[in-house]
Amino acid sequence: MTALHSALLAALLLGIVSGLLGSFVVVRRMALTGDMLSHAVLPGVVAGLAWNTTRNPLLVLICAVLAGVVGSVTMNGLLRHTRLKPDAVLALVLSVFFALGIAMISRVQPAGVQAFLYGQVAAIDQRDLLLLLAVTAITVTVVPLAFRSLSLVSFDASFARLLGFPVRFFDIAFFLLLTVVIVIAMQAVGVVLVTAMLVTPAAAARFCTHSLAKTTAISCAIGAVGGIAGVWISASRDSLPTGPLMALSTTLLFAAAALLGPRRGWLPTLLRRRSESHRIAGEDILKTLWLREEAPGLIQPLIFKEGLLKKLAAAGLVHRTATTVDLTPTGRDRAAMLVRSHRLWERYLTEYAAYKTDHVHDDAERAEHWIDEARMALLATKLGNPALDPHGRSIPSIDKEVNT
Amino acid sequence: MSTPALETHDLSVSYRGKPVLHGVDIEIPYGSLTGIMGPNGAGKSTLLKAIMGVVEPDNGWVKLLDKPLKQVLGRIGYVPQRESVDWDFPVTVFDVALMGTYAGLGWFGRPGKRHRARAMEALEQTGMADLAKRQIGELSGGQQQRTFLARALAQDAEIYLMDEPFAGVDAATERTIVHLLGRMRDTGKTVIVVHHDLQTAQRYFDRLLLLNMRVVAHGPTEEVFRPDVLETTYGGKLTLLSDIAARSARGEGGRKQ
Repeated sequence: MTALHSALLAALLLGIVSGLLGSFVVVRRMALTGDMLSHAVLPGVVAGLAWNTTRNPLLVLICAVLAGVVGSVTMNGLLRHTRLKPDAVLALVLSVFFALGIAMISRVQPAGVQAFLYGQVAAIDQRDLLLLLAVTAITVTVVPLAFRSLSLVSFDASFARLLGFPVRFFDIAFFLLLTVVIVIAMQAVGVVLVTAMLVTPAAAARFCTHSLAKTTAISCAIGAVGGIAGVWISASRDSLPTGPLMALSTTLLFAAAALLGPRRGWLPTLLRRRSESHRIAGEDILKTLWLREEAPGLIQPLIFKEGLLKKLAAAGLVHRTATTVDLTPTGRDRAAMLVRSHRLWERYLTEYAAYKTDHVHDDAERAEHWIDEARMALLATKLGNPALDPHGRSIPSIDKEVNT
Repeated sequence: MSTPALETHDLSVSYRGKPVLHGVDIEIPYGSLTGIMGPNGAGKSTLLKAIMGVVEPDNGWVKLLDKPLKQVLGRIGYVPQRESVDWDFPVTVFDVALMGTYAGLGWFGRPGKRHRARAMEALEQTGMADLAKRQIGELSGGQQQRTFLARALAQDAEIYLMDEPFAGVDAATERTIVHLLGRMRDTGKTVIVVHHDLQTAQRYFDRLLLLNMRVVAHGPTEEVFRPDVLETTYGGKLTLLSDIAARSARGEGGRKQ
């Protein structure tokens, strides 16, 4: 296996495993805990490297995890016994442990510590790769199998405890696995960028779906693609560092998800809003035409947007000639429904919400587009099928609509 | 006398180092609908947390179904306070209801057809079946409460603990909840509800537990819901009780030798 191959493999595995755990980190709101851990393990890493000169990755890992445990115990102790807020406690533990680690580095100067500080995928050797492979294998087997339990514990720990789930055990296991992944990821991207690898893919996935299972899957994919892209770009250009490029390409995917993600992405949201505003504008045209029929001569002249008229004509709601626009029978029914919604809503506001009659029109202009048939029926029954709106105009009936 | 469904004895609890509950003795019979009431800071939620084992009591014990909590896990249901739920969490209404069926599934078990049917049935009972696929953050306050009530129904527990299920819900939901609570009680469930609204307490509950850092009164509603008792409950904190307790907890400001 060439150096590039093992770097690519490492990036792939890291992307998957950090994407997987990261989605739980994000939904459990533990992003800062991850950041704290990546700094808190440093003294352990240094001790491990100094202690065994063969740089056995398992030994380094064990020392690092121990340091992570000490950091986290310190954090919980401070949280319980002082009145400090969590962010202050996190920052405190993070900086103290990191300072200790740096001080140890200057004192003992162990070989290979640079990789943990700045990240160096090339420094990942066969033994590291085996360890990473083992951790990834365990994670991708256990997490999907226990997915249901994990999501329950993450969502509602109190309820999970009442059902008899060993919540504490889950938390500790998750914490240990997270620490292990953080220590391994550090070698690839460095101490500061670990959080990026953990949080960015999952945060991106949150723009795409509201299912936790899909969030996890998408997050894995983004982590893997981002990681591989980073390694590949840095390999094809000289003097570009791998770790930052992995983080940057993952961030690029995050930006894409934020722009295009179907759930909360910028573009889909914009399109949804636009199509709603077109629907409303179209409905307003139908209503205006209907009102012109109700009281000829009252509303003129009529200037409508060409594009909207075209759409309405295509939908068979209006009939156009070179100089005139008229409602088709279907269009007339639709318009009558809107006017009915509008006037029922005005009745409702005056009778139930104590609006004055000269205050209700604007509100009804908005509401008419959002009252569906079920709610309209509810309104009519509640109001006792009134014939007139508060201004004395008749409320169109729905008799014609019954069979459509 | 038969054993109560829930019994606490001399239960004292501190929250973040501050004593909140003092020597609480309660006995709640099977098949009753009890409202826990009291002013803000009276320790209502803390009592619930102590019963559920979320906070460790300083003193005293809790028995549920005549056993310590550890032996009856899965038979106790819980509806959390609305503010304590992460509504942005990626779960749907159906997912939440399905969680009610998780007791006894173990770590790796998967809910089957039977479990899904139970969850769906519970959603129908609370009028949430149509919204089963919605993410929980897209719901109104009332719908959110119905969702968690469905989870409780799907669980089919023996004792239910509910933290302010009526907070911030619409009138229709309030009626639905009252109706469902009554039905649960009628089928032999023991339902314990933290409640805020004095206006409705008398109508909603068989029994009331009036709390203000200690039990002020506890018993059938018609015996407890009296002006003088309410006056004692809501007539301000027992300043001396909380003051001395806080000083002893801090361990400072004591008598000079």
